[in-house]
Amino acid sequence: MNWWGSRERSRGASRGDARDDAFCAFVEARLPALLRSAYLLTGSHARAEDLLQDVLLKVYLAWPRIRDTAAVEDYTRTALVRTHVSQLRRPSRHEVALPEAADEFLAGATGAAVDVEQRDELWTALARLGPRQRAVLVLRFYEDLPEARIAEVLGVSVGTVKSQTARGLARLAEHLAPLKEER
Amino acid sequence: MTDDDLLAARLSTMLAERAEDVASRAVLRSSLGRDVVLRGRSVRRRRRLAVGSAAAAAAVVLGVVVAVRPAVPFSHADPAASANTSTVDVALTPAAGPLRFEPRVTRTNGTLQFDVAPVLDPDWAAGQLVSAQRVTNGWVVQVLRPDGTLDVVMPTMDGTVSMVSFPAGTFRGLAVAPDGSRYVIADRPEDGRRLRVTVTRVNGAVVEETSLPSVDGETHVLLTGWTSKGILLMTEPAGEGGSRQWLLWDPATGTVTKLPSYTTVFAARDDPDRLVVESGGCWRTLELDKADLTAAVTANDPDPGALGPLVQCAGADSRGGAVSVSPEGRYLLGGGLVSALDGSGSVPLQVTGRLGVLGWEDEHTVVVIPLEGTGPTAGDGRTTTYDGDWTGVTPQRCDVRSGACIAVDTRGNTGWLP
Repeated sequence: MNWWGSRERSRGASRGDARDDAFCAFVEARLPALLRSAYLLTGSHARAEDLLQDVLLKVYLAWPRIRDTAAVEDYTRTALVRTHVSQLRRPSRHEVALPEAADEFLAGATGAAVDVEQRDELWTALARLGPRQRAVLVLRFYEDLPEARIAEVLGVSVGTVKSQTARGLARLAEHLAPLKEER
Repeated sequence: MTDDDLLAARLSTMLAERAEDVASRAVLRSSLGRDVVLRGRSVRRRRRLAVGSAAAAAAVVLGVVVAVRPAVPFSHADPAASANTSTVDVALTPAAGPLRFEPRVTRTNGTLQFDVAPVLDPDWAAGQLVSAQRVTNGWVVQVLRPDGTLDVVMPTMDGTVSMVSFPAGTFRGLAVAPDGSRYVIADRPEDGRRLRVTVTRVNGAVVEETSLPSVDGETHVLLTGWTSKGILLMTEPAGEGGSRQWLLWDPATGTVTKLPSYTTVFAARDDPDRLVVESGGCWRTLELDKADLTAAVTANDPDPGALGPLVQCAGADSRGGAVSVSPEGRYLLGGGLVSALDGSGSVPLQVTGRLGVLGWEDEHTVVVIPLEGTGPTAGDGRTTTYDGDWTGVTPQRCDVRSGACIAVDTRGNTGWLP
């Protein structure tokens, strides 16, 4: 069929444009919050943006199938966490999320206050956790999600969430202990 | 409170503070949604068309396919051979280019291409982007400065750019040789000298100045294009109904050929053998190789055998705004309507209001700027003047095949006026 002057195509394009507009409006409204979540999951601004773009592409492709627009944000957050975890679980893509040098520099430039130092230690310790454990802690202590919802997002049982939370905190404490002793 | 509770509280505080860092540090791109839409459309089309060719896969894997526009054969004689030509020392000022280029993804013949689109650099925010014209080795950009000066920035062969500034009202047009090797610029110096035409090789090494033989209405001459039959010029109105006298000037021989009394004539940038002409509100193409221009002048009517099919009658300026022809001469944009120049049909651009044309990025992509305001307008079919309070709003990048448009990130350069 010739694309030129096709009425059917024109109607289809119109529906598609309305969907695209709705998608863009959603991204614009939720971009800061999603980027914050992605940053806390990845520990890197660059990886956060990459992750978010990958996830938004998935959301865009799924957009025509999403009937409940109120569920879009939940869908996006779930995709964000699962994509992050699955990416890092692939052997070829595995990276350890170490703190960015720029972060350290900026934090140091603010005045070397003790709380800033402790904050950075905790951030460094968090970077040493596995992706799923880190995701559990971020969802629990930043997003403030209940355990049942975290289990849903990650596709695991509530028991796993509880155990991952406890182990995650324990590992953070382990990482922080030597630093305390050095001081 | 247990140690775990204390640690959890510290963790919660730390995460909240880190999240705030994102707000202060991250460059939140308002165009992210549109970027994703573009990527998503490409993915959908690829899925739909099941394009699994090795070429497409290689393009995706490699990430970059450099879009090279093939050079168009150029048969026109070198203007430097003209007896009226002399080499002069016209300053071509090295300057930082006014454009930033933003990556975008396009799809051509089943192959994904990673390309760039021009955006006026923030350092030039005091200027207004008048046009961005793609040429073989880069972009020719016209920037209007607050004092009325027009800066024309041209790429050179060594990867730098050269800039020529024209005092307000003195610039009379620019055209690029069909093979991209030379620019020709017309201006009327402030000292009252006659129209000056400067031919510049793109490497900036040779600058030649030549001048027109005496032509009717010389004071109104504008240079508008470069064809295989000569350089296209427009002179003052020469007939009833606002029609103008159009000329093809061959700088090699100094001969000037008058075209029939069309109202508007375009030379498509990448199709030097063809003109797009308008007479009586109807648009057609005119094949220069087939047209007997001498006979046409005599009969005051073009050779019927050289005329293409009727593209559209009226409509082109029904919404006002600019009229423009795509680089390869396949589409006519006017009044918010895009018509195929082979006469196969039209499609409206999905933007409202009067439109200015900032430039064609490729044969299928045009950047337009909707104009909002009030006040009288006047047009001659080719350009429109706006009196009163008119302002350009966010430019839109449009696919002329579907009419779909998306907003361009203008980085604060929204004050463009035609």
